[in-house]
Amino acid sequence: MTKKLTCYLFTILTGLISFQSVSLESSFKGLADFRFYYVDSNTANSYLNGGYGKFRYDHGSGIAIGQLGAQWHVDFNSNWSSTIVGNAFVNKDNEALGITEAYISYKGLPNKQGWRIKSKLGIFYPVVSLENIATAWSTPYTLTSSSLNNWLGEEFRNTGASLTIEKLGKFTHSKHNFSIDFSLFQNNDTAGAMLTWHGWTIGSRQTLLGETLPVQYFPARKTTLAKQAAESDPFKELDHRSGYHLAGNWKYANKFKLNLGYYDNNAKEGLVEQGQYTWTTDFTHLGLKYRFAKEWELLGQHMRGRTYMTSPTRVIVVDADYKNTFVILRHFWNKHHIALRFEDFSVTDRDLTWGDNNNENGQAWALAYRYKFKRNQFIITEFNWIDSTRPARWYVGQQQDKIERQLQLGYRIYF
Amino acid sequence: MGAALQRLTFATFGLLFCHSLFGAPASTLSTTKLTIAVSDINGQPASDMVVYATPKVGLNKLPANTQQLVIDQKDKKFAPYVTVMQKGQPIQFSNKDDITHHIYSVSGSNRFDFKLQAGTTKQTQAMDASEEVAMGCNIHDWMSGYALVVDTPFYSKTNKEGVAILNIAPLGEYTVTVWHPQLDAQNNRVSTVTKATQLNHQLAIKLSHPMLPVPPQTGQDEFDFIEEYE
Repeated sequence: MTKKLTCYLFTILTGLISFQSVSLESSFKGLADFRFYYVDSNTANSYLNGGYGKFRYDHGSGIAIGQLGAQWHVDFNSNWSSTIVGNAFVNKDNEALGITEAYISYKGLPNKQGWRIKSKLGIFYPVVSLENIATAWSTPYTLTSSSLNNWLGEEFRNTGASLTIEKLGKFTHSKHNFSIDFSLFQNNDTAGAMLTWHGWTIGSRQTLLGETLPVQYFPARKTTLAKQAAESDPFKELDHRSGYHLAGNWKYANKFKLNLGYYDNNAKEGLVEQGQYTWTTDFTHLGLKYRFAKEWELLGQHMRGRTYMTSPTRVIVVDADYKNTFVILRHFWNKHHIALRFEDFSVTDRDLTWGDNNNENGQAWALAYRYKFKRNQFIITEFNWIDSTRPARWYVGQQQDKIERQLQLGYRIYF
Repeated sequence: MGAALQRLTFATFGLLFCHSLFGAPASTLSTTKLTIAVSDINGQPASDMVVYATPKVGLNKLPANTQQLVIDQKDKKFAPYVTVMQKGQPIQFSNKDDITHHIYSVSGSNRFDFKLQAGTTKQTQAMDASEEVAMGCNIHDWMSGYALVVDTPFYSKTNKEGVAILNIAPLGEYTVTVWHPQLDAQNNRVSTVTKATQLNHQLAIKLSHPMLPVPPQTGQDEFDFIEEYE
């Protein structure tokens, strides 16, 4: 379905381009990010390679292409445009190149009271992250996304339509801007599987459209969950039923931004196709950005929700509540930027399935320093520390309580 | 044509200026140097205020001020923030940034909207209504700029010292108006009547209304490479 939709979008795009090739204007934006990394994870492999390691890289050190991202934007006229976002990620035993988003968007002009309508049609991120705000969904503050947003990058992509209604305050001499965003989407019926099975993770990886993710080992995969595929397909449609996401946003001057939303993939329980089960997943999210002084900002997000999957006979097999909160304090002056991030996360296993303990509780710290040596070029270094308890590690002979550390040094250019 | 007219206007003004310098007798053709000093509610010089003078006898037969108005988009701001022009003239926009802007004016009669790619310029239709043109960018919501369209050819903006000089003709009574989008008065303007009877006429205007702060012309994120990812 995802591939079909991508093909469909490409067909529309190429059709439109050949139709109006004279008047179309296109632009490219991108970033390249190269890194050295050192991970101390007590021999664990990364979650991306099927282990229980919480970082993007396996235990050890190496070099990586943190991200090669490109956005191709084509204007059909002053209101309609298309955007395709491509990304590549390369490190030892994990490399990928492909599309992360592709959509057609409409952005109307505000009327004289400041009301504006926007819409998207295609494959795009649900509007949740306050961190991933730069080119190709990168975060400008740190080298890693917080665990909350790393999960969004891993298991979430809306294939559908969104409608945004905005009120721009400046038209009525107000400092308040409001917007409300509603999306209907498909192709996200398995979202929740990876969070449940590997827990919260911290990194800079986004799942590409069509990519599949290795599922960690746990004993129930040989028993109750024997039919689960070895790799999860996160952007799969199984129930042909739409999920929805509703979010509201309030912004005051350049000081304060708040968003609040509810996401429900509305997956129908008990469907399975080629080892991919429907996971019924919902969450409430809250985000806040507060510039409390000229060179200081506080930024945080909170999320809580539930995900569960059942057997075809509607018996609950996996059921988990999850919670995540992070706060970033950032300070910037001249060419310098420092970000300190604290995260607190948990997954609470509510089912009694043997050999599938998904409990988790953890805290993480990140400290990142960024130096801007040209307008668009940066040296960024970051230290991460995660202290988590996850009984499932016992299945593969690792400590249940564990501290993992990571140090990275990166060069990033935006173009 | 516009440039030629402008040269002609300059030449005329130049000639008239020389006349007044060397003590040529005042006639209906001479221009009067109207010096207007604007001060704010605290008595400090008020800079960047639009000032225009409308003769009581009417605008008939006055030559149009065809000075081309150019508004740049630089560092994701309109430059200048405030401008003034005579009715019937177009506005030229010049994008000096390395990104696209989508410039609009969506209220009143002088409406337009177009995307302007990096490094390009575009001229609007003639502005046909005497009113303020509130401009914005549909990509960078914080950007705002104003052009006041006036009927009279006699207009200018105050400098850092709060002073504007208008070369008016003929002598006589004028309504002098001060306008700024942040001037907290009705229609953002205050007017006064003055009678110019000699070639050098001075006028001081002290505003009795406060100036509201100009909204910051920047987004919440401080890095210039960030484009809102939406």
